[in-house]
Amino acid sequence: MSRLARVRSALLPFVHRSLRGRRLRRVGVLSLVFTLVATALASWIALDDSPVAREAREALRVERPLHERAFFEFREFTFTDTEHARMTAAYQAFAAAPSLRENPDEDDRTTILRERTRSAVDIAGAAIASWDPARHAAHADTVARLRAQRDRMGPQQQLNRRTFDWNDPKAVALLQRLADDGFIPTVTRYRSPLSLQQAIALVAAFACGLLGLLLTVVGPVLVGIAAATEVHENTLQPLSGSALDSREIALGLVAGALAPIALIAAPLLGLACVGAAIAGATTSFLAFVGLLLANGFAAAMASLTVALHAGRRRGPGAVGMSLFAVLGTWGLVGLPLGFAPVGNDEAAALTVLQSGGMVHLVRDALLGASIPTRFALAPRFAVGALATVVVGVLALRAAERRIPGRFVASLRPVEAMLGALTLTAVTMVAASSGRSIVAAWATMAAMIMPLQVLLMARVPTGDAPTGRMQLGLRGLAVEYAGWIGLHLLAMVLVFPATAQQATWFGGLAVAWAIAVAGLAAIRVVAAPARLPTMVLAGVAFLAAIAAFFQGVDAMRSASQIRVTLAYFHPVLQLAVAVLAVGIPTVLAWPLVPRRRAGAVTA
Amino acid sequence: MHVRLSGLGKSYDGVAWAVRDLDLEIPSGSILGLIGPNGAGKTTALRMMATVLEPSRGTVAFDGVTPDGPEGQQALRRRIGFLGDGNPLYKDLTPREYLRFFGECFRMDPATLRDAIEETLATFALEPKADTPAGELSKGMRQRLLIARCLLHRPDLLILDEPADGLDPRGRSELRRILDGVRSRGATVVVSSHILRELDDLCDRVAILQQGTIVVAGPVGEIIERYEVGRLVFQLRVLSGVEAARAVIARHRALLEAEGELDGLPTLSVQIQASRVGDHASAASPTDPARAAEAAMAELLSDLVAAGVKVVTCNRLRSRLEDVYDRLSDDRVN
Repeated sequence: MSRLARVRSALLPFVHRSLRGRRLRRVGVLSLVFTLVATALASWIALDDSPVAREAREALRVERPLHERAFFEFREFTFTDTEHARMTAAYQAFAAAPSLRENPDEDDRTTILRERTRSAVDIAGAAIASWDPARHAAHADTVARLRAQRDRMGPQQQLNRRTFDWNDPKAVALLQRLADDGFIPTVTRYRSPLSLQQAIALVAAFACGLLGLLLTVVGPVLVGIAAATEVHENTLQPLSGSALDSREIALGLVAGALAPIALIAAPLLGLACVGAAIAGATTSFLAFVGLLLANGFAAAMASLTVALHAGRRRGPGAVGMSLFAVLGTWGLVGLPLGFAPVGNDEAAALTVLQSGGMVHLVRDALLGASIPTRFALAPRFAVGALATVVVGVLALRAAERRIPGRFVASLRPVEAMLGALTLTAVTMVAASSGRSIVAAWATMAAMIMPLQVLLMARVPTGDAPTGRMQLGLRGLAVEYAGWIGLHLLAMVLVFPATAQQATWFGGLAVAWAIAVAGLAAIRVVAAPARLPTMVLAGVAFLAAIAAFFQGVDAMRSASQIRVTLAYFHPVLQLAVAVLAVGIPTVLAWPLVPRRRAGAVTA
Repeated sequence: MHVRLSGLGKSYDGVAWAVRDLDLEIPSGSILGLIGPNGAGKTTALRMMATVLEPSRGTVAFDGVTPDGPEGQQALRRRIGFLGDGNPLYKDLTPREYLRFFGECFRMDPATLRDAIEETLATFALEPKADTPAGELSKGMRQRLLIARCLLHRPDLLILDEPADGLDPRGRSELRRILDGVRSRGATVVVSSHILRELDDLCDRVAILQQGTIVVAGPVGEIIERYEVGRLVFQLRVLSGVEAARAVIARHRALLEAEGELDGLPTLSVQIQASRVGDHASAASPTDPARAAEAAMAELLSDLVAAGVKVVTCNRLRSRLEDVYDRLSDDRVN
């Protein structure tokens, strides 16, 4: 049997179980409903003239805000036929005898038109006043027309506006519009500015958003719930005794949970493809699909691993809710970045928070926005996606070692090292546009929690009672130090200022923080999960965060920290010293083996 | 499938042994009973035999071959049916769906699987509930389904950890019939139970585990002979004629172990001695001490009736394995 056939035959039982009986029909109906609702909603947003649809379009950046359109296009928008008829009547009356003078008898509509005309005259006045024939000769005709139109309005009051930017193309275009319209705004019945093609693109973008939600949040949460249920109800044991190996079972669990999601996602993917084909931006769309698959894969595998661990102690509901909170937050945090202007910080964040990258790619492919090139986002997306795939593969490896319940570490040393190097690479690429020492240490700060996770994955767990197992603490410490050392080396190479500005106090504080974070991670996995252990680990981690930032602060300004310490009361200084020794000692004490690993004898 | 355990040991924490130095031969086509108190290491030993638990030391050879690496283990598992301790079901799957799921997990081809499912449902009398969610089945039916799952792919080695849990007397009798059937097609069966009466008629061989080590193992007859436990104990519940019964028992040189009362009627516990087996060896089973002892008891019973003793019930109280176990065991657990 070929490898592919083996995998297929391994996944089939889980897929069949997931879609057995009437479930297939139910999922099919759900898929159809989902697609129709998505299409209808997106079409309505794209084409409807109602204020709600318009606001949605504005939020999605597919339409300029109405006040901007009204200003730059010099229009007065109306939203109902009645309002339009009345406003048009007011326009005709005002256009016949435009006057800038207030008339107490005029109705509200005429007041609106008069105020806007007054404002237009104001702008034209400022433009005429600041016009330099030598620098802006090309606009001489516009200025002449503006003067003529202004004279038509009669004697002017003093100008409110004093400046006009002749270098702003949008402002100059507005001037031409004012000259054409004779300072009286055109009354326009508001209609959605999107064409049918743009509407199809918006439907496709909507489908992309739902695909993102399904594949990176809902699907992985379902995977987590399915795996936690198997662990919680001990149904993995018979599976382990079947003809499937651990990897096949892990992949089967994922495939079974994702089968309904795949059925729901398939027509949405079809919609997205059609939209991308019509919009003609296939490269960005394919990049989006790649990023989506990478993130979906990593999220599903990470959920599987977390659930296999947590399912022993927590119910599937609690595991599912936790995963939903984490994955949902992770996705939501990235979303605004997809709509925000990109600067240094945003570019760094987009390397890691790929939901923002996906939004950028969808907007580029379907909504007419273009990806900013200044910060080279495309390579960042590629590096981020690659790192995400590595994380997914490592999570799969960890999951397959948890399935038989044997007493092993979730990751082998070489796999953990690969994970650490990947994290280093991603953080370096993310921070590469900054050059400050803060950016350098930010990469280390970003590394600490992921490194803790890697360290936890190196602690053996499984069929031994927690707290009685042999840890190999020294080996773990060496590995952890190795990861940190390599990251420091990368920091020095990418940010040479790191080495130049290092201080002994800062280095000591950072080293203490990193060591305590590592010990806390090991303690959480190795010790029985009791409340005091969790509280101790939490306190230690908070202390590590405080020490880390103190250390980095000391690197930035060595004199500052000396002053701060000198101001401490001696009792407080003593307390700091006691905590500095006490926290790591309390964390490490139960981890030191009391009996040798070879104590088992015949 | 012939199974050999050599120096098998398992330590979960690197400090204490759960089982150690297990040396055991299980000939092909035999039924081995694994006996021991709670915590003796039966489940650990069975899980290592089923290749779902890695031994800390020693090997398990199947037909002379020790599986090498994960691929070897996967191939081997298609020949093993394993019912672990406390195996739950998927509550929302029906028996038919459950069997299909596991059949596919054993990579059975669809046509064979379809036939095997129907045959297994019939064998285990699960047909009427074939499309009822497992969560709605009785405990006994669930247990039957679990055992059915282990036999679906027609394994060469069947390992059952406490299979009779939750089965009613009829279910137990059915289980014995099924295991006999499995043996008759040449498969090897390893079964653990704490109800020794279930095992001594069924098993060819037995291994008694205590504190993680095997204290005795071998053919049932040999062990009983080795430990001189050639006796059966029967309980008679009589309506009248206790005095006459005592006299008949004494005449038959059977040992009256105890007298008591059950449901308002007097009871007599009678031990049939092994030394009398030769006297009652039958043509059907000339050398089977159990049959011979039962023949002796039948003769005693007929004399009791002839003497006017009104016997209401006659039950076998203790198996000979229980006697062996009592002699060996001081019931210490790890």
